[in-house]
Amino acid sequence: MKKRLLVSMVLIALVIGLFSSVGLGAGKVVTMWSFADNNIVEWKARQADIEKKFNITLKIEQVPQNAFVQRLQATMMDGRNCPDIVEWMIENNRILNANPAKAFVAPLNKYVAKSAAFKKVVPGRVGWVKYGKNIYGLPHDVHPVVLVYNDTLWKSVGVDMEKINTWDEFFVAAQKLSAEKKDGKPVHYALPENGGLNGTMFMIWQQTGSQILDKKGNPTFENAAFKSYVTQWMKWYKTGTMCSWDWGNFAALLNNGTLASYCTPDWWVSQVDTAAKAGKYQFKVRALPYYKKGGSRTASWGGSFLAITKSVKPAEQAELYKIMEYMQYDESSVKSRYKETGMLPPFANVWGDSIFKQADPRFGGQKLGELQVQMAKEMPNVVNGDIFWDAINDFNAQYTEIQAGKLSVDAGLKKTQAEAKKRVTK
Amino acid sequence: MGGTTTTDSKFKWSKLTSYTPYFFIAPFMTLLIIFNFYPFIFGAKISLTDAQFINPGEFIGFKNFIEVLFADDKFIVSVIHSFQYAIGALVTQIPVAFVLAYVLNNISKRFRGVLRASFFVPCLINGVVIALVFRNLFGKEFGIINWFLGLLHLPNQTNWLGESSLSIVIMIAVSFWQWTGFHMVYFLANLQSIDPAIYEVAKLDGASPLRVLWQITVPLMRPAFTFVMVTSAIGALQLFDLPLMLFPNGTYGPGYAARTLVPYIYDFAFRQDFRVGFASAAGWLVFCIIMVISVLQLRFLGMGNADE
Repeated sequence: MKKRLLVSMVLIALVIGLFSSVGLGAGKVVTMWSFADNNIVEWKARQADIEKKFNITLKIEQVPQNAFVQRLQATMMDGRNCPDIVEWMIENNRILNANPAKAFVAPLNKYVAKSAAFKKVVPGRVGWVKYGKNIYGLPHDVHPVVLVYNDTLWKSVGVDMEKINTWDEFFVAAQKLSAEKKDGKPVHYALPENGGLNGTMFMIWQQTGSQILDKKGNPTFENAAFKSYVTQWMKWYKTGTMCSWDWGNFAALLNNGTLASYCTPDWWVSQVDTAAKAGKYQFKVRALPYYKKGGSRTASWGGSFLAITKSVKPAEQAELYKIMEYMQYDESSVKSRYKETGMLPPFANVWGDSIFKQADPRFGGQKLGELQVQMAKEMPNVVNGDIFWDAINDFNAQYTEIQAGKLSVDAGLKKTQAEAKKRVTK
Repeated sequence: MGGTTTTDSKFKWSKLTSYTPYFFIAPFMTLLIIFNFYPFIFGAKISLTDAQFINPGEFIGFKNFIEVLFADDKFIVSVIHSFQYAIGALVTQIPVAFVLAYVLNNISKRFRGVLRASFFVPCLINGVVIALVFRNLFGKEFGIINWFLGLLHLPNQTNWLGESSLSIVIMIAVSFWQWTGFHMVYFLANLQSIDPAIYEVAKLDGASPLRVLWQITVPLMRPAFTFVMVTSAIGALQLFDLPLMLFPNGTYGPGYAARTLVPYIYDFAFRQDFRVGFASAAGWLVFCIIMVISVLQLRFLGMGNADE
């Protein structure tokens, strides 16, 4: 009798254990870390719906972007209070690795392979979270880049920006714009630059099709195409038509006419709002000029992704994937995402919606959404790899030396290549 | 019955009161153990492993230490940058802080308070904020320094933060603005504690003001000099916020010209390779460097001698 009781108890315990380990279990707390203010507003607005749909309690924590990786690393090494889902910014892709044993988050290959929604995500965007054969994250956005320009100012120096085809033509025209000087400095600048492969240089670089890593993830900074781009960029820089990228005063510089145009992903377009509202200048928007005719007319900059951390038990991953997919790609929600934040979802299914075809009063009624959708379809591919963002840093450290004329382009790229190569072996 | 209870409770109370000092220091000691000793020991343990990413790693002996010292030239370059900065900071801040304190000590009390507060305020501002403010001041097109130079019809297109030769100099300048007032307050407090009778006697003996300064004030201020020099050197060798935040894109200046020791550790642990074991080894080496420098300073300045 005692034996039978013992066997039944063990069986009951096994059944309970089995069921509790298959899914998340009713009312389970799912902890999510995010760095992004905008996105958190969206997640909180949808929190009740997500909780109800998946029968979970969603705990959203904001972690500062510049401490995100450090905190995640420390928490995961410690093994306590780890988040289940993380939303990180693209520059923190260091948490990914072609070798899944080294990544902070779990590969999603088996889930995305079965997902109909994921097949609609722009491949150029997925490329940013594909390391080796592993896809680690669900993109939140596409961030197609367009050119916003002050039509009044450009026309005042006889330049019709709509007729500019290439960046070479742009910088020739830019010299007319920056010809007017005060205290020896141009009164108007054509573009802002951000000290290396960041901001404008990073965006135009994607248009060139040149790469800094080969398909195996090794640095190739000295390849002819990239070298040619850096050389060309330096020629443009020396025209004196670019000013420093001033994050804090960007909108003010547009408003007072100091800055006459800027390449911008969807999340930065709103910098023009104050100036457009002031009404002194007419602003317009267009695709980026070509680097070479027939090439790409856009790029992307910035972005965030959702992923499951490795602290989550494998049995719980499938359910968490469903939650993440719902958060990122629920059709009605992504439409309101565009309405609220101006960020184009990477989910091509919804791009035909009327919300992306609205006339934008900031640009004299031009349809910004339509242009962004078109650009998202033309997104160039960038070869990514484990050392990508560190290699960018290596380049940026030499860039200022090249810019100051202390290093030739060749010498700067040689140094960058040597620094980046050391990373591959570590 | 009641009498026994009273005796018992008195006994217990007296026993308890003998532990009172320990209760008072317990909170501090607890925090010290958690936030100082534990990381210290944990850091030492991890420095002997190949811990990387989120993996705790395996024991590899002193391989990390050997690699930091002999296989990675960046460490030596970072040591050089740190020393350039530390020496620059000490040489500029301490004499000026002393002169300011000396001047303030000899002016009317009404102005002294206001001036002392004005000089002291910069050290209360967060280092990151200071770095961002100075990044704007040193900006190429829109920076106030270039604007001011333009007013004087001087070259006004210098890319201050893009000149590798200026990186350390700019950090020294920013640090001078931030910390000189802080040191001055120490010197001023020490100056005010010197017995005026000593000066009276010197005056009666006909000593010149310069001789009084050199032979009375300076020797009597040795404890303040020692304290300021040792703590400044430690602070300078632990510099982190300025190199990270002052230069665009977090690259520690053009060509890594301002990468000092702590940014070097930070890069390896949290920003690039996630080599926590390697970074811990580098951290221990930095600790040793700072300890040696501090001991040398204390010996050189004579602190800790029997006559102190």
